[in-house]
Amino acid sequence: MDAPAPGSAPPAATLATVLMLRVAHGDSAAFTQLVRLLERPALALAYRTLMDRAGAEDVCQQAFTRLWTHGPRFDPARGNAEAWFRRILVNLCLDRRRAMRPVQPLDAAAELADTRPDPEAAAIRADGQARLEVAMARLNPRQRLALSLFHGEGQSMAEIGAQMDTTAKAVEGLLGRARNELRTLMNESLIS
Amino acid sequence: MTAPFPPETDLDTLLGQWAAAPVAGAPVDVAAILALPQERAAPRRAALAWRPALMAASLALVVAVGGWFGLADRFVPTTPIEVAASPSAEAGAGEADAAFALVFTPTAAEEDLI
Repeated sequence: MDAPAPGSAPPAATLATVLMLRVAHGDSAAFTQLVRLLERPALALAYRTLMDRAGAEDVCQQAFTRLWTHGPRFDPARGNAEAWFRRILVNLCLDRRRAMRPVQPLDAAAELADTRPDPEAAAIRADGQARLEVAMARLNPRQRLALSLFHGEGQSMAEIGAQMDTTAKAVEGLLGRARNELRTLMNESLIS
Repeated sequence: MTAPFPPETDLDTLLGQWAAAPVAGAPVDVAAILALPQERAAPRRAALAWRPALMAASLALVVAVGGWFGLADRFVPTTPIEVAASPSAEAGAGEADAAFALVFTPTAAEEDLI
């Protein structure tokens, strides 16, 4: 079987990859279409990782900016456009989280989420989903990111490993620890 | 003792709902991004392989020409070197000449033949 010519889309290319190849040549209409295709899942992934809406919007803007400015470097032979973009987004999320840590520690953020005086909010917290949200706020961002990629994007351990610059085995451990920690935190909130 | 919560299946369900929940947010500002230039890699300059060879050849030429003009005169002796021959060597030389003459000087008969 012949390999696709450099700069051309592989036979089973996704829509995003086809659009990205046009973006690489400076096609602004293709870029607009690509943004509309990827922005919702990107925002959801960034928000679940950062637990901060404004931060997630900011990271998405940066990720799409990089997609445009670095577009000519895109090589379809090295993976599809979604994976390339997700890798950019994941790196930006983790960089941002690292930068924010001294200003707003995760524990402090969890405390804020956990001590809402509103009685209605307290009642909602009894619900499993609300308890999950509170527990999520106390996980570290890498754990949240792995959970989001696994449960939200339906990615395999190997794919998550590639996005997060680690091995499939390490992702398996990360997900296992995240689930255990979630269960413990949810139990704690049930008791309290 | 309370049962551990949530069981695996419940946790999977909750995580599935958590991951699938829509997230509202401001749309990406496409116009601001499109105002930025794309970073294109500089085109590779062809035929770079011959450059080191050219530089080496140039350097060799400079050294050779420099040596020719600047250094050659320094090693040329201004006065001829006198070779002093020892008396025994002079005597030896005389004997050698006599032997040479004896062997290679043709006799009258030989000159007739020639």
